[in-house]
Amino acid sequence: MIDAQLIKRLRRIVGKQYVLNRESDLITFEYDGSVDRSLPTVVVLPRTTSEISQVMSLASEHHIPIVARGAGTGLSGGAIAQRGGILLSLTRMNRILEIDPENHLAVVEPGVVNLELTQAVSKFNLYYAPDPSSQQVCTIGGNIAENSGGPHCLAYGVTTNHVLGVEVVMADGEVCWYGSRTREYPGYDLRGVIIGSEGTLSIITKAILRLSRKPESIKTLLGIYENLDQASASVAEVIGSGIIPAAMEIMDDLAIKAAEPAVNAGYPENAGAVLLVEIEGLSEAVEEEAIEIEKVMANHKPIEIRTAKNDDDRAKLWAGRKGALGALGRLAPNYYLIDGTIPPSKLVEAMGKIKEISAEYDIPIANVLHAGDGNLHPAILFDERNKKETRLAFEMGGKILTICVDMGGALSGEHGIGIEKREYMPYMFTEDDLNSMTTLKRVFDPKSLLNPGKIFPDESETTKDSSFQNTAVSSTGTKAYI
Amino acid sequence: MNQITQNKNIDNFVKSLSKSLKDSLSSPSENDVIDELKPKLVLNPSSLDEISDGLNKAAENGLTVCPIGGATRLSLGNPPVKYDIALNLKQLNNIVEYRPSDLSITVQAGITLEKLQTKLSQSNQFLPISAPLASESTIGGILAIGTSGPLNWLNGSIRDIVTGMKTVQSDGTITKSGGQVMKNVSGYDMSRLHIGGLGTLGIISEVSLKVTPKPLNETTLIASFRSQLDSFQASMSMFHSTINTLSLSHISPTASHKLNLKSLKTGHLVAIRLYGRALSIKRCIDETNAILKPFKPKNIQELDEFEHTKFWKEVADFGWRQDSKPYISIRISLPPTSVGEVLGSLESTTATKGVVPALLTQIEHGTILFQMYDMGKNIDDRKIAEIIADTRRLVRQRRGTAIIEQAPLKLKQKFDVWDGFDQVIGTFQMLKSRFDSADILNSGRLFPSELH
Repeated sequence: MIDAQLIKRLRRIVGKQYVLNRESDLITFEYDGSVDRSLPTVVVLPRTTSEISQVMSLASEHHIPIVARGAGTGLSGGAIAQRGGILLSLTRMNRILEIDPENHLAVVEPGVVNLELTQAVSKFNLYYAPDPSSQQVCTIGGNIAENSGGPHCLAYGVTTNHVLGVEVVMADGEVCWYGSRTREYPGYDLRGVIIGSEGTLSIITKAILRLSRKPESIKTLLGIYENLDQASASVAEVIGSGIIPAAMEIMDDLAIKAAEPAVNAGYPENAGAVLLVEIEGLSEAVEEEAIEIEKVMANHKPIEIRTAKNDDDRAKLWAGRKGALGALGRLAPNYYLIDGTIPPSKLVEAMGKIKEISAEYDIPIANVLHAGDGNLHPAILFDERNKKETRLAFEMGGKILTICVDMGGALSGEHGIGIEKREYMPYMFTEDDLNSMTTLKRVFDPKSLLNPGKIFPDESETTKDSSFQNTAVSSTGTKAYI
Repeated sequence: MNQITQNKNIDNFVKSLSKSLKDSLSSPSENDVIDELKPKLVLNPSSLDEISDGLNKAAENGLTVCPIGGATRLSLGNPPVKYDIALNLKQLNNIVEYRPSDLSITVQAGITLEKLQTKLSQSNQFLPISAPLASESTIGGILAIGTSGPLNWLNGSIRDIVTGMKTVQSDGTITKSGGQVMKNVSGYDMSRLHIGGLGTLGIISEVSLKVTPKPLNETTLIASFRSQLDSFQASMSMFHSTINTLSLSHISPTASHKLNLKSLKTGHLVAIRLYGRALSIKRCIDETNAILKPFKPKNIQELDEFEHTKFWKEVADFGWRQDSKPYISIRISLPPTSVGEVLGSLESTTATKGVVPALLTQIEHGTILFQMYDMGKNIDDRKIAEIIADTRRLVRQRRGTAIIEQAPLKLKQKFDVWDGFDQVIGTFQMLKSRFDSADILNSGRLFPSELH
């Protein structure tokens, strides 16, 4: 229980002004990118690993839940303090501690904003490859917790492929390093286990990140198609041809209709789908690959293929894609964003099934896809004031997720399970699979204090009302990201 | 456990097996020996259910199990505390599912790397890893060891190629994590515990792997230099250049001699494996020549296709072929820019003790293979022990690790062969106690169990 005495002790650790417990202050921390809301009992804003260690010891001693939070852009309810307790806001830990351009690495605190790291290392001709669409605001700590992806992870991999090591504070306050500055390290890969564990195993307090060399040349193509099937079939054929572009993104007609008036990317509003393809590398290779990709795209009868002529052109083509979700508010007051993955060869089949679900329920779905790696983001458009429609929207979401799993895919490609999809875990995993994961959880967090109620189906009575159906609605607007 | 009880347990174990598993039993051979210990039995399961049944019955009878793939690197690890049953996984060698357009393949753990690569190459794809003795090494074994060969694909590691895994736990429970898709944040990535885990938490039985299109063209340049300083500086210039290489190896004269390539001139060598489209490869060759020139190479040789393939196979096999094993082999991992200092120090410290080591370095990985051959009369084990201790001190100062991959048993008994476990040993032991509470899997080979 958090009482005045405990608040006093927390203030002694981090400083008076960095412990918030007035309701007016707590409201800022009650939600993340989803609209589930729950007030933490107290918000603590530490500055150092040592402060976090002391806070964790205190929480452990008093059996208080702890939820870590970065920028709060997560889309599965991962940063929601559903059971109250201490919300550890890590935004003050925002220092880039070291840049080692010779070894292509950086050591950062968890509150560093993703894009700011790339900007800081740009002068060395380096960048940090994972690029979630929220990269202008989301933090490295949150990216690691969710193993975030982004459009360019098709060629370069997701967050776990770019993190060499992490410093963590364990549930009892102990500080450990997992992984290191070297590429190889023996034994169980605890670093790899922590990445994507959604803050349920430990608190990340530092990270050693692998930086990549900026590509010499970049080319961006836009294929405009009459329908989604043509764009989807182009994706499978490009990959089958032996070329792995840096990114392959699709938007369907509804997403285009929303985005175009909002950002003026130059997409024809009557197009059935657009396919954005980006290739990077040595200039000779990029030129040749662009020609080959154009040929493949041409096989699927595009209305037009455009090539960005310069950086401005390229930024414009991407603006449509990056602004798509934020623009969905033009079509409906709310959307429910799905994050399932499927094998890319099943793209046409999956999109057909999603279309059938939309027709069956008579509720529109706008589709934005990281198509190359089969990461679907169908956005179910509805009005939450209409209770029946809201219920149906979630039913549709559930159907789409089960289709993904049935096709050999996964419940989440990059948003995490959080609160949103936890009830679906038994659909993808057996009881034995889940038991083995909870065994791991108990090793790291025997008192189950770290981000409780996330990832695993929740059987506690206290949180039953806050199940998946009540947590997954995302407000439309500019703070919506995928 | 005394011998009589032990024999009784073995008898009970055998009696409790299903007919097919009983039929799979074979007698141990020299291939199954680990650190001079021979198991009582070899179990050769052909399905996940059979592994499950075998482990379950072993646990019931208090028998310990060491999983074996291609038996190519059994010398790795501390000596087993106890070794009753060898679990040979070579019967599980099927391709479960392969969809080239999904860049994904699912295989059983006992498939050899060579068989897998052959299948993938039919669709112009490959698994971007290399490992010693690819015709014998199994995927399960390679992952359980968790170290990379000379191939460097987009600066990734061997831990990056697994998207999903099925394992059998020590009580026989079959579990999976991940899946066949590249992006997946659905629950904990349990496969991470097994890659590099040396089969101590469960048996890797089936894996889904991320594959990639084969480069359209490859070529290798081998440059020879007058001194180690020149060859190392040339390597680092390549490392810092914009040229992406598939491998960048720095090879000492002794190592070049041990590579067993008659066409190769020995000396201070830098081997550069280039890849890409025809035009870009041509440009990379020109630029590589320009980068190497200031270091005055004695010559630069471009290998033909046959020599290129043979050369990189030899580099991957370095130190592991049955007919050319070193007396001691140490695998050093460092940040790449620390490699130079360590190489220099290794040569001087070993020279004072009358040893000329073979040093083969993968620059991008920051990995030095430090091997000592033909030690017999020249040096005693006390001096070898000093070299190991000095090396570890040197490497730790630079935040690296030095693992003893091969050594005679009498030396292994003096050292922990692993390095870098100080901060994690507590968590390792807790994981072991939860996932293999009776300590039956590869007992003692990764770290001492809390039970002993």
